Amino acid sequence: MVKYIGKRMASLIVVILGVILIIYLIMYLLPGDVTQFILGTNYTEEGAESLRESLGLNRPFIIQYIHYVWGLLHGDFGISYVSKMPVRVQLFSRFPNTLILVSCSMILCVALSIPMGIYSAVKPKTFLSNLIQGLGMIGIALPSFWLGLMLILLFSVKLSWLPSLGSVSLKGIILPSITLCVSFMASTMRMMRSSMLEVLNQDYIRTARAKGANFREIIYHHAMKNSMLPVITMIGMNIGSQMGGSVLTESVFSYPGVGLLLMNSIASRDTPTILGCLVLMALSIGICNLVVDILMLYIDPRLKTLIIKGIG
Amino acid sequence: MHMTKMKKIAGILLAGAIIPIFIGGCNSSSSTVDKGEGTKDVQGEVNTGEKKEDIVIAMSQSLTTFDPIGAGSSSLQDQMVYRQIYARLFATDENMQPVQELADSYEKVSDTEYKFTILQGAKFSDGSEITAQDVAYSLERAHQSEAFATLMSTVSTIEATGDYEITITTTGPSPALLQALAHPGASILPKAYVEEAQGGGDWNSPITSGRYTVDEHIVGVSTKVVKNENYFRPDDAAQNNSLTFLNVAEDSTRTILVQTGEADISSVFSTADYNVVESDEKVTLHEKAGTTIQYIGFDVTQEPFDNELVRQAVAYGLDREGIMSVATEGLGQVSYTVIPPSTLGHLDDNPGAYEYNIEKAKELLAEGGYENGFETTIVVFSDTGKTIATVAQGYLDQIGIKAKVEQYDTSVRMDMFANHQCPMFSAQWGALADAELVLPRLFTQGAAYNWSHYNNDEVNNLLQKARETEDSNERASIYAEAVAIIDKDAPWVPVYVPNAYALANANLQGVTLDGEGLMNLHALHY
Amino acid sequence: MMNKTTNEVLLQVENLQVSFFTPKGEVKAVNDIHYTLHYNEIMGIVGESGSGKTVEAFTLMGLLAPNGKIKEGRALFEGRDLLKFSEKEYINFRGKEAGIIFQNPMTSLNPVYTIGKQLKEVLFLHNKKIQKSEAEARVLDMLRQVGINQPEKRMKQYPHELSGGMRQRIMIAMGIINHPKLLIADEPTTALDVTIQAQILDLIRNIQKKTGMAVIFITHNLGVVAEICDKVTVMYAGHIVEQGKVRDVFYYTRHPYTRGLLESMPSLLTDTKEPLAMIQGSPVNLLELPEGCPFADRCKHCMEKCKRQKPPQTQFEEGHIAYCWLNHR
Repeated sequence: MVKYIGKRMASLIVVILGVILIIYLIMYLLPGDVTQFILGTNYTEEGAESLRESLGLNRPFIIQYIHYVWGLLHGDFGISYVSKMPVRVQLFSRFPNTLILVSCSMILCVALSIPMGIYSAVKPKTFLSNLIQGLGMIGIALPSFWLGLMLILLFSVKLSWLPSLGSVSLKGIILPSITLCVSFMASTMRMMRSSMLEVLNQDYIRTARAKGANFREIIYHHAMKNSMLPVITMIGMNIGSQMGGSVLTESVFSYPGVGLLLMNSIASRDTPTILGCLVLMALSIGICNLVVDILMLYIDPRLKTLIIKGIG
Repeated sequence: MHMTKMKKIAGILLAGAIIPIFIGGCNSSSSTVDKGEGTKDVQGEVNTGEKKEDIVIAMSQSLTTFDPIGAGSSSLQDQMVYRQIYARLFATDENMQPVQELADSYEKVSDTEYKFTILQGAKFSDGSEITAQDVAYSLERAHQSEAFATLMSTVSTIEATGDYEITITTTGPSPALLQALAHPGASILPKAYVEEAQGGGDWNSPITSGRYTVDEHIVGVSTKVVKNENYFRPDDAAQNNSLTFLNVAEDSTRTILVQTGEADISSVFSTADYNVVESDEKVTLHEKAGTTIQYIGFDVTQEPFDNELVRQAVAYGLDREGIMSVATEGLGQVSYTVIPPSTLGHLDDNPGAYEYNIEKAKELLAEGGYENGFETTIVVFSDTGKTIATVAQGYLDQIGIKAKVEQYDTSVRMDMFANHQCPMFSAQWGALADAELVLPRLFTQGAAYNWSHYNNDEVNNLLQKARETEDSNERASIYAEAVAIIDKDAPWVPVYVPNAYALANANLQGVTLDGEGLMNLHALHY
Repeated sequence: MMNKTTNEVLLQVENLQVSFFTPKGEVKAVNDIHYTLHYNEIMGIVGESGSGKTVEAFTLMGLLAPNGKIKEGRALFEGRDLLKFSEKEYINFRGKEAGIIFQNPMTSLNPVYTIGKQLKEVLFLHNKKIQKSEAEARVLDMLRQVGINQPEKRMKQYPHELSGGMRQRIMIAMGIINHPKLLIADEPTTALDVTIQAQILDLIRNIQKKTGMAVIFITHNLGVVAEICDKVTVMYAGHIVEQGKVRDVFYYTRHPYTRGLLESMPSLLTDTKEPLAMIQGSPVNLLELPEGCPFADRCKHCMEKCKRQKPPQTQFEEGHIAYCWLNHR
């Protein structure tokens, strides 16, 4: 097991190094750089040149890359071209915010979609079940940006119940969480439903009935664990998507997270900050997936056997 | 029994979610400036009835740095903050004219020498006195920086010639010197502090001397400044207790914040929200004639735009009213001249005598040898530019010019112009009040922002002449002459000057706008 | 428990009719089935796929699919009509008074729980007061009884770690651990290879001898019937065609279908160069049952009468019956 985790971490590191290389390459090859943003209307060629020198932008690409990675290994994310402050400071003050947002969103998502999915699988012909499925389809189609604005208009402007500015506080996180989780809720619910339906058709459910188990025991004991397997995998993937997708939500609510930071630093071509955001995101997605996979190992005994046999 | 395992898993998941909240709650602190308040919840509560002393201002960008000549020197939003916390020799009034702040008196000794005397007893926020040393140091630093070089191009030396006296020598007459000294980039900081901050790269506990001191700064989120009780001009102190600058990237969100009362005023307003706020009684939309020109330019070194008849044809072929009504819902003024009304040298009448006249346009085109029209490309770098270009495209089509519109990212702008890749383009220019700071940077050979690659010796001579005198009336007429020539040559077709707006709570007093936006924030109160 | 003699009736099925209502129409799966099962008796139900034998068994256990309906009939289990049970009554009934084991052991066990847990569950479901230690002991004992060695190790294992044969043994264990009076075995050896088949059959026979429970053994394999059943019911297209003691039905066959089945069984004496004897034609479409004898199309001895009228029941020696016009000449 330890070996397995070790292997996964190692490949994660390789992936991250690759991500850094690609992003660095892209930033390097793209025309335009941060000097325009910094100098603005005071831009002159000489000024831009000397600025580039002082920022080290004229060094060969490989040198810049190695310098960055070396610093990274020591926990140094570099200095922001724009604010001249260590990137680490901004990153680490905003990253927990995004984590919190994603966590709240996931909790909402799971808490709602799993019961709804189970219900619509178990009682398929009822009005409520059809309603749930309809909502599911709408949820996937809704653009989160629009939804966020609509929620603000309703709850902040019309009703004044909630603030329109997202923040890390009880009231300030409700609307952003809802906005972020809606489309994922829909797909999770559908997965839960189809997974449950499939499981209920299995022979071992029939065996359970033959043993004399009642409805409750069949759904929550026999079917649940089996039907959760693909759902958990999906939730793991969703967390990754939400880490990236939080950009839009953070934008609408001006929520101080990493997504917004990433967007701003792309606009200003602030490579160190961009890389810092992406590295953190990639790391957290990778670790999340790893955690989910390990969780799966404990839930589904068949996987453990595969791993131990060295196949996984 | 079977449930316990599930509950265990659920418990682990829940804990895994709650733990980041606690960690986040402890670590997600502001950057180092935290003078005890330390709350992250920076929204003002919606106050009803009580007189509010803490003003919340919604901005479109967050403060990039506290270094006045750092990245923020070109950002209007950063400058807004600097004006509140730092003192300069001069400030500007609502017509963008310089007024004394730290400077007690000044003297123009000769065309190349200026002496400034500063107020005695003015203090920095750490208690130390502001001396001429600090002033000279700060100004010299600005002078040396890449960002500021153009504004202080005529300055040659800056010296402290007494405890409270500074002498500046120039290479020639510098009528725009006071304006340059009024720029937030010329803010005065203590020498010792700057040297330390530069060495360590930590600008987050700035030592200030303006009407406010920095109370709390959460990077990327908000900046709060509180009234400085020791401001050196007590009769001109702040009329409110504090200002909180809130970073809200989305236009509509900013408007909503003012509507719900979470913000008292928004510094950048999008005309798209005009209808929404017009009917809302809780907010007031303040308006001022702007100082930004939206224009369509030509690369005069390329065919067919090297022919002035072609350029003039376009100037007749565009319906400026029509374009403006689409681009800013008509909220602005059309312009037939290259500088806005607020800049020295602006001409009220229309020297080029342009107007929307399709027949005349076609005539000129034919005269220039293009009676069958031609194809070209309009390059744009912003969404507004795109809108303008797209509407213009329609008008151009009517006179036989088939134009494509292409949009690129702003970061490649400078390169593309330098490489003559923009035959026609749509852009904007934010003008300062003094034409000296505007015309040479746009219309002289080799200037970085001369995107038309325009060069006219007559104009060059006139601009040089204007530098040699200090009399503003004389300068105004010289500039007017230069502008007349430029308008006729038409390297640009100016389209309109959009109004400057600020959206504020209906009960907020003291809202002043200058051409660039909100100013005199210290005067805001209920 | 098992102190009833063979002479007392455990289960009496009368006039059972079950149909499935599908978009294409009514599928008459079970038509007028009847039999009597005594305590301690093993009855085989034989027929090809689609003959309705599995549906009949499921109906008794209340496991009929939602689109199936019992149109007529009674099934008296110790005097109570099973077909009138509520779900709650069935939940108490299944796994305790009657057990059922299914055809495919590979998929019939829940993959995410250990064997031990699944077995213990059957105990806990029907014995509310049982202690953990006692349950553990009984499960271990049961595993030994069904021939699983190293039961302590196996208890902690998961289904995917066991072979098909072992899994079927577990299913049997689950079916009998509460000492039911009736065990229904629905083709329990079809999915297993021949050597394992023999072992499972032995197991069932031994357990039956020991506990005295009644068994309904559903199969398409007459050889198996010959081995362990006391009596047999032959079904075709949802109808009974012949029923009686195994000896009688095998040696004194009174229905062409039964004869066809017997003839088509290869034995060690069959000449391998000759084609296998088979019953010509294909199974009848249960959506459109004919007016007359369901086997008419495929019968070598078919007469005009057969096509028009259903043959009546003819009785022979004790309990031996058949439905064929040939017996009425």
